[in-house]
Amino acid sequence: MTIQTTKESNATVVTISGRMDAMTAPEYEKTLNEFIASGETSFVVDFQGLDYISSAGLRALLATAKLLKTKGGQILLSNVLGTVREVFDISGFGTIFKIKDSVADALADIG
Amino acid sequence: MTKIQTDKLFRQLTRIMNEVSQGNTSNIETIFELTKEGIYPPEIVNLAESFGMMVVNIEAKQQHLEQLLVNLQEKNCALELVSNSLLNANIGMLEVLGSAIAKRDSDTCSHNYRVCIYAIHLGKELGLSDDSLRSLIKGAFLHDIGKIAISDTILLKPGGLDDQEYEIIKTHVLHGSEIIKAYSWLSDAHEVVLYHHERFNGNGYPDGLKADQIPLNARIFAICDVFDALTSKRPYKEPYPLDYALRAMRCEVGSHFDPEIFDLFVKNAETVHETIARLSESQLERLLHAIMHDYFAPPERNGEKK
Repeated sequence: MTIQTTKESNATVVTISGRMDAMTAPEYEKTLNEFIASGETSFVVDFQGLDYISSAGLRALLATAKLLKTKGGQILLSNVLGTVREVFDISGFGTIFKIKDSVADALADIG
Repeated sequence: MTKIQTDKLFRQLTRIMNEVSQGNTSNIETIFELTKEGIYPPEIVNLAESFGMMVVNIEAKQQHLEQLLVNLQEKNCALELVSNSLLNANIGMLEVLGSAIAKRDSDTCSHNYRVCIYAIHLGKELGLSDDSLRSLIKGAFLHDIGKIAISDTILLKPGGLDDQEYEIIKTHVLHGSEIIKAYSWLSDAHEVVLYHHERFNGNGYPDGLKADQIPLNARIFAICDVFDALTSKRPYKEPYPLDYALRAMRCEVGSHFDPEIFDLFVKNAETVHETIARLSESQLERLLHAIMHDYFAPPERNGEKK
């Protein structure tokens, strides 16, 4: 898994590619936690390049979202596609996270 | 990894699954540790992943529910504000309507305020439910609202009325009942508005109801109404002293007034009378306003009063 972050005017865009599982999820959580600790409250997590997400990956997403909620922040997802999308639909994550078709859509939604 | 090591991991995973099924989540992180591909055997990873997915599903639903609860609480707060302002609007309308009709044949609203306070005291003494007390308060406030339909030449006529004029005055209870029935929040004032001129022996109006046929709130109010008329100053008379008023009313127990309710009224008449008889119109208004808000406040925050 590789993580790239870009600071946009109204949010930090986190681009994830590869596999998000028990091996790599801690890195995602650590990255996001550091941004949250530094005061960032709005994130777009882009799954364009994500091949696979395991239960541990989903759990990391959940933990970050929960932490962000307590700080009045928000997390939007974009490009949730293919098998990753299937996992989202099965797990009910689709109702917890705002999912947009593209990073641009997500950024526009944050406003 | 040897068969023995794999068996050990399998037993560990099974133990944790049992723990979780019994509500103990202290070792839940181990499940996700065991999903690491390449480190643990595939059969363990697959099992751990399935179980891990189940755990995440539950956690996600829990998180979703928590969020819904927060949203619900926020909406509830907003609704409470709306409901409070509606209540204030209704109480305000009750007060304004009551005052409008009081001003029709009097300089002040003091009589209206006092009869309400007497009625609340007597109703509480009788152990009325909060619902009945609220109806009693509304009825007391609006008891003469039908006088709005009586012409000034009859309503304000100095001296006595002839039979025909008296018959017209008597219609004010019917007019009043008709007016308040049009608005649901006021419609429970109907018993007092329509029947406050009934008499215990059946010689009252409009229906000549007797004793228990007369609604309880109307029997309560009739006593308060006459008592205040006797003990307060009117354009044509000075206030009668308390004991004189009570003796005069005692003569009409059984004919005009309900004996049991009257006895209860007499028990506390002096105390209540002393408290409020000398209050100015604005003091009465403030006192009553406070009592009203107390009785009409939303029940979930107020609870039933004893």
